[in-house]
Amino acid sequence: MKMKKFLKKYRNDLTCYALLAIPFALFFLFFLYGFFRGFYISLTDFDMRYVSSRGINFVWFANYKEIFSNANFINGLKHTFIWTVVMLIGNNFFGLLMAALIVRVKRGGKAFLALLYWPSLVSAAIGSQITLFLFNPTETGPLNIIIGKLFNLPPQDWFINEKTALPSLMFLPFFTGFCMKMMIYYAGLRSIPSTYYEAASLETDSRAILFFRITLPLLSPVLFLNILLSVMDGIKIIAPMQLNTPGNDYTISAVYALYIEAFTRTNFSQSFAMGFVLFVIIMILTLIQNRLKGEAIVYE
Amino acid sequence: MNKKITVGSVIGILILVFFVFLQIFPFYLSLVWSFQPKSFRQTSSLNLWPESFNFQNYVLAWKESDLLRGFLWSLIYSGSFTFISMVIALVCGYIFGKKNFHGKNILFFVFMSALMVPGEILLVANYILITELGLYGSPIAVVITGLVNIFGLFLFKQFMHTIPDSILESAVIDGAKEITIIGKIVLPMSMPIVATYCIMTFTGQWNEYLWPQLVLNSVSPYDSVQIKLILFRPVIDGAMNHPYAYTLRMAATMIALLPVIAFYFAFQKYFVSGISVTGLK
Repeated sequence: MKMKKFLKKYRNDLTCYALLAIPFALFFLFFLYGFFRGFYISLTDFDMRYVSSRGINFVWFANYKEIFSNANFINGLKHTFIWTVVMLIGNNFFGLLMAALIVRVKRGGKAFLALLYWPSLVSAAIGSQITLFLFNPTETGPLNIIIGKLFNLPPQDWFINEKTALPSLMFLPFFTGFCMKMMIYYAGLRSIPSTYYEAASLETDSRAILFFRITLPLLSPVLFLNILLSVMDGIKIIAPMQLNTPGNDYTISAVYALYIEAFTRTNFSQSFAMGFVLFVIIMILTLIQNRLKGEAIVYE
Repeated sequence: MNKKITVGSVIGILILVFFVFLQIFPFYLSLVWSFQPKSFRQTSSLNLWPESFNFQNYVLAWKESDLLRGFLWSLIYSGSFTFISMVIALVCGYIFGKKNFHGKNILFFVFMSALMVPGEILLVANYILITELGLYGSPIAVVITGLVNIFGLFLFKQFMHTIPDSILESAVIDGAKEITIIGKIVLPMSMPIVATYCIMTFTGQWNEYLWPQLVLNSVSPYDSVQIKLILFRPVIDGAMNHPYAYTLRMAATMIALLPVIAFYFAFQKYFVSGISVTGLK
């Protein structure tokens, strides 16, 4: 009797919990548990091979101290920073340029959008095969032939040379990685009412003034979103380094250093320490972005 | 005035055409190269047209790279992942968007907090967990960890506002069960977001290589097409740098690229609408 009353009273709650049970269980295992366990392991001398014989002992922040004398991680942070800044500039510049040009195309703008967006669907594996082919370091490599023809330069060994390795890796993404940014800028530009421009065109004829006084301020939320996305993508970068230049000191990124620490050296605790350093960096950047965004959105 | 606009827009279109060309050019060079005969040696000038169209390169690449198996497994991974994660996101989105129950806000906050956790920490943590669960090397491991798509859940919850409460209430009065309501009312009414979500998730999962490569054995019968392509390093006359090895690699790459391009142009409008949904909301 009591049971029945209880069931009736909480029937709605129980249905909701029942439907959420499986998603929450998966979420708990692969998100929450992983996150907190990762933090725990980063404070210990966890080693998969010796867990049964030696156990797991706390070393507190020793791992965090040690990773800052890890050459891979230091180089990785440096390269990740360079990569992020370069891609932030390149992808947002070309993305905004493409979007602004497409908005002004009277007929067939959508076709340009489609023709410029497809490379974002090309996977890292396909991109890597093509990059390795273009940057073939022998004299038969397409890029070596192009620079030989245009600048009369001898064949370069792109990814192997300390000076050219990282720039070679950044070359194609810098010029062609704007697809996603272009789409978001395009949506942002389209949402600016044309009446603003009509009103302003009574005052001035200058495109530059219209761009800096109307477009850019009204676009600032989109601009901030794109910058945040660029930074988030940049910090996570691993695919080009791992696929095109495996184990190369001149191009290693922070996440690739983490990957090597975990899966080549099976040093999980230090790899987690690297992960949490990146986590803190991401948190700080997000907080800064939120502060700036709060100030920039007043135009709306 | 009129003339100035014309000149400006012509320059604008020329810049756009140049970038369209810039994006296609590497793929075009690869396509040309994929047709070259075995005897072909490129030396002093760039070949913009193949010496002859050797389709047997494609036959050989198709056989050697075992891409067919890769395609099948990619279809299984992407299809099952997309379907299950869509159902989970839809059910959770509906419950958080339309139902009231004790602890709802706390639970929702817990789910959303996962958006802050960087994937790299979870990559290593989930690798350890998968190994401990004995799932290492199994196809289940490839899809199971990401099934709860927090961003998808958020999207579906936002979309629930467009479904009027009155319809759901009348269904409750008619005595419909929650499962029926979700399947017969919520799902059909969420179709725009379901389509966008499925297409974006499918391509995302299709292109994934890092996690599948990590949890499968180095050469596994369950390798996806991406892994097959990464591992495809043909050796010709004892050399991996042999020009014909590159020809075969480019042929395999073109085979892997073709379905992606076809898929893109078939579902193009969803990609555009997907950006406006995910990017600006």
